[in-house]
Amino acid sequence: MGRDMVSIKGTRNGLVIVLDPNREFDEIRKNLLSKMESARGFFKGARFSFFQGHNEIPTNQQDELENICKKYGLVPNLEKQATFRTEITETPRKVTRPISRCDQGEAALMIRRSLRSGQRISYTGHVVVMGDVHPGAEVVSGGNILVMGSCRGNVHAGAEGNTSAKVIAWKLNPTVLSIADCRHTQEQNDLTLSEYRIARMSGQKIVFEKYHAGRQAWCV
Amino acid sequence: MGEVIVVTSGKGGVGKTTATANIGFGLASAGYKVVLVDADIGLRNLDVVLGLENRIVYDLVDVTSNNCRLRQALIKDKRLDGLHLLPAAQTKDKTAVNPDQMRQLCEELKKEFDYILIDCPAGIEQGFRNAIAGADRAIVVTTPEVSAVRDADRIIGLLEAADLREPKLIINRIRPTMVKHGDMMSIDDIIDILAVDLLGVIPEDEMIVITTNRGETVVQDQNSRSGQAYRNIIRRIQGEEVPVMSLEEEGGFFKRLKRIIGLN
Repeated sequence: MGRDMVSIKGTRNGLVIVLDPNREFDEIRKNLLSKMESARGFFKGARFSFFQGHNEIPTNQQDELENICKKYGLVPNLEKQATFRTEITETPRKVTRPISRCDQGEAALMIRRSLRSGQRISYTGHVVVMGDVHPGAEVVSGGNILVMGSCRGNVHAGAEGNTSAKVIAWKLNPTVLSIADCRHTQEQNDLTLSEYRIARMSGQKIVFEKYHAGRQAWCV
Repeated sequence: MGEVIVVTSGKGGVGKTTATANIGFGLASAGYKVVLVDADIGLRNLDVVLGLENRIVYDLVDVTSNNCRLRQALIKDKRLDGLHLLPAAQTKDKTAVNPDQMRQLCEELKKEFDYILIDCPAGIEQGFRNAIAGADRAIVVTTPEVSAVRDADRIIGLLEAADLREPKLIINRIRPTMVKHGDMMSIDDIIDILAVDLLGVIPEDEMIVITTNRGETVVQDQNSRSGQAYRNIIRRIQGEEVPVMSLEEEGGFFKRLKRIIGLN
């Protein structure tokens, strides 16, 4: 198995301890312990934060891992994971000319694969899934959710209360679709429709319609 | 150097053990040296399906905990030269083995066998992680039920995370007439959801139950459709291109007659 379940990376903001979200907590803990043991105080005094894929670590488990690190003299970084996230998601780009009216750009997380049952993505900005969202998978986004393939899982856009958030997908057929506090359980959607569809709030309700690129006031 | 293939599904009762036994038997009939490893510790039944239960002396846990040598635990099937079984322990549980031990075991088996087939237990816990630890390839078995397909999807996600990319799918127990009437998920529906390559489709067949209960395998039966389906799978595993056989149930008198006299 190629990937390490615990790897330690140095960044501008101290150490980032990357955990493999697909391993059991016990294994991760053991691995972390052995890494710390073999480092023999090398990391002493360094600031650190955790990064576990894009899943959230339950607080009690996170505390336990933190305590292990503290025992070896590491200092928790209070800014937590935020810095690392933006680092990996924002690719440096050269803007030669403004591409759209939104010249500012917004934080978005690009998922370059399909999400299968049991996999969960949670991000404060927009989320773009370049594959499908399978039934049983979950995407929670503070902003919009764009799915290039079919969307059949649970999606929650505008999770922090943004009612203008939208979900767009090629074949939009979610099990549960939520925008802000409004929840919509599966209905109607014709699976044979091969077109981009959009879900948005209209008044107190979520409405589905065909997505016309460029015609909707997306950036405003 | 042999190849380690894990047969897994997530959900129980979809036919992992039957598939392992049949594929193993088929590969051994094709002249390969094959070992079937039962990783379902505590709930072993690959030995029962193969009719080798009464020959077990040592098991997988004995090997990994150095109670015996690997060679002592391997049971040679008397029907076929190349077929061997490494049975699971029945009195222990999944925690009796860890992934490192399994990896080591697979490395050792690879030196001697062409194919090492691992029968994975249901679930996604330690037993699953043990079973996939040493695998080079994975076969996912599912049935045309929403629950089985959902679990298969979860398993495929976990396999991918463990660097077992592009697992192959076997759809088991499909009933063509039900599919035709829209009462059962079709092959296309399942592939559409799971987005993986198809290795084969096994139609529902009484012969599976009959042969399994006798400790035989259906691949030995030249007349059954499920046996044919398994033989196709075995050819595909060896790299041949074999089209998926038509699942239309053979209703005509002549076709049935042909089948009975073994022409088809």
